[in-house]
Amino acid sequence: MKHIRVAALAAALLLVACEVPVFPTDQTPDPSTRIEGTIEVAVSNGLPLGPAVLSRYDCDNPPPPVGSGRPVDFLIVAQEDFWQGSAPFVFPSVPADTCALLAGFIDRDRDFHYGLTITGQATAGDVWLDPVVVQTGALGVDDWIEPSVDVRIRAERLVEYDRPVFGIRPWQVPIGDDDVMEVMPFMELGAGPGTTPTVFFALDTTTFTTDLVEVASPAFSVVLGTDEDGDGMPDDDNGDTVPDVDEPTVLLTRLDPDDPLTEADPPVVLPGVVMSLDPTDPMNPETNLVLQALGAGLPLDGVTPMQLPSMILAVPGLVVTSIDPLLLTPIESVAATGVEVTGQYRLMVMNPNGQLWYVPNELGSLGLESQAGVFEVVDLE
Amino acid sequence: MNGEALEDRRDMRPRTPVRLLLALLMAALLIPAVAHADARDDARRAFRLGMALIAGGDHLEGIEFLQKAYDLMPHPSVLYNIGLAYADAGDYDSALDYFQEYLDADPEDGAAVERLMALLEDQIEEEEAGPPTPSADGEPGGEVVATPELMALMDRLEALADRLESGGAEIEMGPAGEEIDAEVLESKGDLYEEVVVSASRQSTTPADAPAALTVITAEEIRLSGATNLPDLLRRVPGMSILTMGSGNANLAMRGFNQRLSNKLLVLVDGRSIYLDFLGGTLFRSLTIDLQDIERIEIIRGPGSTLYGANAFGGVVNIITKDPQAGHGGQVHLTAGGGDTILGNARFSGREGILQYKGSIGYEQTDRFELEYGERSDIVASTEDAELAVRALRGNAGLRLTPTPKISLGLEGGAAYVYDSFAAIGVLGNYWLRGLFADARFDAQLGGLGVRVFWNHMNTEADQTWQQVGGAGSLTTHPDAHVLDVEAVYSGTTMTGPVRHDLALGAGYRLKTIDWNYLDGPHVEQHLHGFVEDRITFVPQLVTVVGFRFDQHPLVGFTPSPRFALLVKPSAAQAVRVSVGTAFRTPTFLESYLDLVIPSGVVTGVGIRSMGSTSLAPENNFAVEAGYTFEDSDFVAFGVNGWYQRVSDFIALGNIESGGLGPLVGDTFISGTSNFQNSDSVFHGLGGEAEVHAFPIDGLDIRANYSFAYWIDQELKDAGADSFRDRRHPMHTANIGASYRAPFGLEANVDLHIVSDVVIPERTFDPATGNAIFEDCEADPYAMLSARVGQRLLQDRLEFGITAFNLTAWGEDGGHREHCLASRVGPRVLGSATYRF
Repeated sequence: MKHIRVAALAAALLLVACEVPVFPTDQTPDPSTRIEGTIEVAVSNGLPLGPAVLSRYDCDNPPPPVGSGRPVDFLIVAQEDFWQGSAPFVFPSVPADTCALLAGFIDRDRDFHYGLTITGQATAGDVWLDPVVVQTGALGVDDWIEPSVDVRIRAERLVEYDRPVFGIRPWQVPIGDDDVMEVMPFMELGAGPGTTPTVFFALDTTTFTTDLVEVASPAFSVVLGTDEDGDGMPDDDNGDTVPDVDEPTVLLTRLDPDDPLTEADPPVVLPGVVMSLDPTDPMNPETNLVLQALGAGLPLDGVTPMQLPSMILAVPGLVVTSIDPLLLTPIESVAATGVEVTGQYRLMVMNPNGQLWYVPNELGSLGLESQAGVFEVVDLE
Repeated sequence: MNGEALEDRRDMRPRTPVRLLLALLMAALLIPAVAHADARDDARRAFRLGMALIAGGDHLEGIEFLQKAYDLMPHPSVLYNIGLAYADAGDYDSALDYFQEYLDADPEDGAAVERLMALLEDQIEEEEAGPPTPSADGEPGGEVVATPELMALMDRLEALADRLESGGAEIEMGPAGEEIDAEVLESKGDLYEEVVVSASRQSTTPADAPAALTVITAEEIRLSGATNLPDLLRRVPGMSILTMGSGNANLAMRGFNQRLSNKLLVLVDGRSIYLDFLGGTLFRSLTIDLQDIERIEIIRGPGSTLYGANAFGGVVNIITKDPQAGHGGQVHLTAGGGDTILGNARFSGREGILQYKGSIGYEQTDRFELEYGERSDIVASTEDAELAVRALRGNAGLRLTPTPKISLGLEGGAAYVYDSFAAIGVLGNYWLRGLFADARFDAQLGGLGVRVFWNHMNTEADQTWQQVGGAGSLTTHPDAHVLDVEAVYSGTTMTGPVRHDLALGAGYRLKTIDWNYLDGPHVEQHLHGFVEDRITFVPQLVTVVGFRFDQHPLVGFTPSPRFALLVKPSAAQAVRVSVGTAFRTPTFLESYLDLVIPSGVVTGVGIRSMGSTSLAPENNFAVEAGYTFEDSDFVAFGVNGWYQRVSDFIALGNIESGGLGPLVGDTFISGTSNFQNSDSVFHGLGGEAEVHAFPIDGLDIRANYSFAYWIDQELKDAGADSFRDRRHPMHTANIGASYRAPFGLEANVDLHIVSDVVIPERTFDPATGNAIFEDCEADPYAMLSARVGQRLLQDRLEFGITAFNLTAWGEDGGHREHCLASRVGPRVLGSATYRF
């Protein structure tokens, strides 16, 4: 009997269910978590009429208009996934203990394409997805990270305006008495710090229709009455006793000579200044944007934009060396450190609501001349 | 009960010495009466010695050796030979006993033997009428007064003895019309000579085979304790095993192993089980168990001249057991670590012209380890992530043999299988669940043979590990059919003194696939034809010339010639030189794939993988030379050297930028990758050496070493620092021994040593989401496995304990054969077998 028991025990030991050990392979990804929730459409008819494009940003690097961050991930929620105005979404593989900003839009005109900078944003007629900040859980025991669930993202604001799609107007250089020569804007590098002359040129909005993108009503937006300090009064940071004009942001970024659509490394960024008035003729209603806005009855609410078909741009010989706080350094000084500053630059114009446009862009590469223009810095020495 | 009474009762129990004696008595009753030597080698040794003694006139001693051979490895024809020896010695009663035992095995020549027995019985009656004169030498029986018929029989017996002594030379039989068929006294020699059927269209001995060959017998399978085919095939020289997990291993011969390895053709009784739609073989999808296997023949080197496409690096032909005489069967159970359970029950029998067999089996085993534990981001898509394999399989067959030259067979099998395997590229680990079924019909009418088979699979499969909320589902339901017909005519003709063993035939294959990974359902029809002539100029000089063509709907006409020259210093020695080609046609996957694979990095972006209908077949040109020595009862060895040139290697190419790819569902296509032929040419040089020694009864020692060196010519031309292709281990060695003690104890040990490999693998760059190629390195490893067993009740009952991969019992917990594979861990298994 004892032997039978021993045999039975031996058999039981052989058959006992052992837990299979967990052992990652060389390519097993580190533990991450997920953010899941629903997109709820709250526009009048309640239908998405297009896929939702939802991007995940790092909170420390937010998208325009607050920052210049790019998505670290994005997903598409197909229109078919919406049921009664609501559709689930899941961001997988989100790092633990991180702050994520979720934002996006419902692409009702279905012109979003992740591979094109010019179509990777909302356009007029789309619906904004209200930004949501999510703090993911920390890494717990046994690689478990509590997922962030029940995140609700509302879609209730229509995108009213199109992007600031523009072309660069050539700079007109007088030749003789009645003739002018048109040259693309360029900056001639000065001999010493602060000697590079400021360059002026104009940007005009432009419309076109291509296989990739259709631009019907582009505009530069100007907003009056912004109250960023929250004192209940329109800001007047420059102290000219009239409300500040919140103009489009313009940045010029040096391009990689070997890849004309990619920023150079190290980056060189020049600020562009939108001229809200002509310094030589401040009260000219044709050039004074404040007078134009007041004449058009634009409310000083800091939200309602005035749409402009063109604007004059000044580019001083300064380089942005720090965004926070904003530090500018003469371009000659930057060049003296060995950083290459000459070459072609891309212009980026961003309206106060965060919509933006680049020139040159992919359409220029495909032959659309207005989208191929560049700003150039040259050193004739 | 008081204490005194208790003492009394204790006194009634057997004292320890008594109990020991009882135990010994029981053991004596249980142990088998004879030693269990290696069934073939030791039996052959005893048989040859016995026949030589009989031929020399020493009948009694010769019969003892024949009896020993029979005990080692029962073969009905040995009984017949013993009967003949008794008859030759004049002991007709004993002869009749053995002939009757032979008849009990229901032999094909039973009627003729019955006539022979009748003759002997008549003779006995006549002897009883007048007692024989005692012989001078004391042999049984003695000088008899023989009838004319018996005199004729005795003449033939002497001729038989001469023939056996001379190694099987033809003998001239008596005039027609006699009562005893001429064949009765032939064909009983070399009973334990190994016969292989896979290396050419004719059955040959290994030494006569025109290709390097390894045979694994049922006895070796049993002794090894192996629970699956890949682990068993580790011992084959030149074989590379790439274990991705407990349920999945990839095999390649002499080069180019990879996930879903597709350059080795695997057959079951000549029926291809290569998955034409996917490439490669899922060994757990077979409808047979290890217990059903009689032997496995492995051709080391290209075999397209015989088997057409996909016999690229080698061929594994699994040959199942034939039904034995009468009724019999076996129940087997293995259980142990990793929740492993293997059960099998099989039976077979023969009634007159009808043979039948059936088998049913169950298998389950867990993974060695899990890549993921309880995580919030990645979960298993299967209910039991720990399970690696679960299969219920069965097969049955019938065969009618109305005459020795006419045979009709019908068999089929089905398996419902859950398996896990590693898919190609970035797809990772998959589970698969569904039905595999097959059927086979064959007819042999003299020299004409027809074979039809059908393979079917209908399964569901998906990635085992999935991101929660990851974009896109890759769930798939492949539904495939293969119908194959082949007719072969075999015959022998003489051109003067030159003998031609000729085989020619033609075949047709229909393949269908309905699989949502492809661009749509597809049907392909293939044709092939072949001819092979084994030309024997003299017994010492043989050539084998073969040619086969295959017509594929996409790649067109592909010829596969082979020429082999055999120089034979003796019947069991051969020097072999062969030249030939092989090819692998693109699979359905490689031709028609259309699949968007999520990047796993950027949720809304994927890569589109596409097949190509303009692929050329992979080509292999091979030259081989070898020497085989089997001319000893104590040792056999062989050496081979080979060169191969491989071109048009098919693989997924680099990612071509998708430009502005469309939105497909909820995924943007960032790029496309197509299957394409490599521009490079690979050159390989290698060799194998093996030795098998069986110095004493019961002991077998085997060892082999393989070398392979491959270079990538494109890398070499480009001046790369390292241009060696390292997918195949440069060095592989196997050392093993098995011993069967006379009292039924058995022991087996196998050591498998493999050098490092580097396999290029495609994966996604976590930083960019782009697909990239990385070197997947696997370190050298050694694997030691052992089994001990005990056979009881005259071999009817058997117990065994197997320790698989003993070397993994360390801190490392096992080795990895691929950077994406789970470790191969240790397992201890117990087994029991009962035969009836």
